[in-house]
Amino acid sequence: MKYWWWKIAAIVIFCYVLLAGMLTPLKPGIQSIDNTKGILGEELVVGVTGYNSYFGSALQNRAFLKLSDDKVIETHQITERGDYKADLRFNLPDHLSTGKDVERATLIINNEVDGSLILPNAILLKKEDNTKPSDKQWGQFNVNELFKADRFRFPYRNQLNETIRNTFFHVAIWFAMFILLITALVYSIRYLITKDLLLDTKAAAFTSVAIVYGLIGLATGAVWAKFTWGAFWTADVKLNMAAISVLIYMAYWLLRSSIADVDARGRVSAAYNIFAFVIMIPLIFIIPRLTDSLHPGNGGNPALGGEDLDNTLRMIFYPSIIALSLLGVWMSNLTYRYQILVDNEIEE
Amino acid sequence: MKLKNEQKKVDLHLLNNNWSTQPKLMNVKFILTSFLISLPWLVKAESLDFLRSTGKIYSVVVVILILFILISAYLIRLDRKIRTLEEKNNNES
Amino acid sequence: MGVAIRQFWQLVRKEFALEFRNRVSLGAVLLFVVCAAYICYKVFITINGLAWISLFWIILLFAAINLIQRTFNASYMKRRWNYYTLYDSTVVYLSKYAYNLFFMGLVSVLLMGVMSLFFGNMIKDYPMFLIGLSLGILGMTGVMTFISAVVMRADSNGLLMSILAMPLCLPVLLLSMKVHAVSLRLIQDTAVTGDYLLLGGVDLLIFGIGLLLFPNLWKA
Repeated sequence: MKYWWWKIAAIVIFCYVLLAGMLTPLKPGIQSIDNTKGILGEELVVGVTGYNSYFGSALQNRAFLKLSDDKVIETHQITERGDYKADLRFNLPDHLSTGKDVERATLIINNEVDGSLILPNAILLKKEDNTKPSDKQWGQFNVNELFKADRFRFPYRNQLNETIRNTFFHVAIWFAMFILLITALVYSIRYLITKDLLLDTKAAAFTSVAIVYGLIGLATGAVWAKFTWGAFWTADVKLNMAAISVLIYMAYWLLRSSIADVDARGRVSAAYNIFAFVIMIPLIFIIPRLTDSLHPGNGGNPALGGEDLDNTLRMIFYPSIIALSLLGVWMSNLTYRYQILVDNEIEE
Repeated sequence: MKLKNEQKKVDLHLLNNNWSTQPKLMNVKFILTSFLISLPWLVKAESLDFLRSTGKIYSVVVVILILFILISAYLIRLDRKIRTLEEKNNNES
Repeated sequence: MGVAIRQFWQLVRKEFALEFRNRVSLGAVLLFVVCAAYICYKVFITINGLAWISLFWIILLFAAINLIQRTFNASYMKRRWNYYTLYDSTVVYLSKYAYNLFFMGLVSVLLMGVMSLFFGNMIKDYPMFLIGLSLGILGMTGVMTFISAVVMRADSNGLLMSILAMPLCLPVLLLSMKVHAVSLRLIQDTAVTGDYLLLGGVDLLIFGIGLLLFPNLWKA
């Protein structure tokens, strides 16, 4: 029990990640709208398609077009067609009162079952030359009047949809890979200090599992990219930097296999491991921040956090990192024990 | 005509024999090459609509499958290496 | 300290004396640069600014690999091993670094001239270009010198040098290409000073970590 409790923990936590990560539904969201242009002073009709929504079952549907907190108009009529479809009708005012002729408005739908469904920058409001005068005015927005639905659900993001769950696997495996690489680095440094060959073997085992994790990260990333960005492989910086770091560690393995003498192999590969890790830091953490990237946290995109990683996601994301790291340690441990057997064989 | 057919049979037989003597390696190589050859078609495939249905949930399933398959592949490789070591030990003792 | 500096100059002088006694290898690298640029010229004929920079750095990268991989040439080191054991490992590393840096500078200036001759001179801001070039060379030489010391210990060092060094050169390469794009006025960047600082930081990091780890490779 003393030696394998963490292996059980890895399995249990990973099962929790799979179950909670796959069974928790997404928050309701607005999947698409059939009209994105509204002319001021006229009636705007928008057909909305919701995702995971309950328009039909809810009794008190309300919808708003919002420019800012004190410039909001409410629908005068909502026609629900089932749980997922609804037609909204707005009587638009004849001015934007910001001095501009064109502005994007946010669409908000609220009912007692779903809470609020928000689609930012949904509708382009435009002033035409022959705008008819209308007595309709922009109103105040009262957040307290809205219904709230605080259930445990993952955030709904357009374009991402259900693939937001990939955070628990794709992002977590990169974190786990990094933890394994740091462990290998520590073993390499300790090897250079103590010259204990077992430490070098350990560093090699951790690196080999980290390479497998890196390949998994690249493959899963390719699938995720296909369904959100449209291509398996893009020119995205972070993707290519990650691919390069996998190459660097594959070269580490090639280097190890090309040196026969055990002591020289240990010293050289430990030195290369430390050197490569130090160079990888600007590669992964600094350069992606300088250039535009599709990944969150780079080139002006919001970092991990905000709406990409809210508290509900965190409750599964962090355990996932722990589970995958423990699995990686377990696999490295097996590789290490195998290598020790092989080395003993050679000595005999 | 008959001769040709018989020759074919013999060839097939030889081929089968070849496969049965070293099945694992051949299988792995075969799967790998066919995967690599089919890669351009896979990448080009436009009929990914099934994976896009119901909020792209099936692409998440694909991601989990890749994770599982690659980790299993690593473990299978390790397992095979340990088995050859065991066999060697048994033969010596 | 004074002893170390004297030893350093002694070693550098020795390296230069040896190099100029047998000019074949240096001449080969210079010829490589000219040939590569000429082949690119015959293939592309005319190129735009971005391709100019990319070609420049790619040719420089391969020239660096060819130039620096013989720094710790195994057979050469074996022959002169007794001589080198007289010196401190840090001094050996520093002298090799300085020596490589000098020839990289020579090669890059030649490449600049050849590229300008074939494809036309596209450099708009010379100080910026030269600072970016020297910072890039500093980093590249640091990586390559260290990797050639790593490869010295390997049994087969044919392709190993390039596969180990190329991915590691990438951060330096990308940063200096960005600075060069600004100096060719291909992109507007007001925060280019930050890029210089970053490039200098990466160079310093590479140099420092190489110096720190080299004794482990040196001890037989």
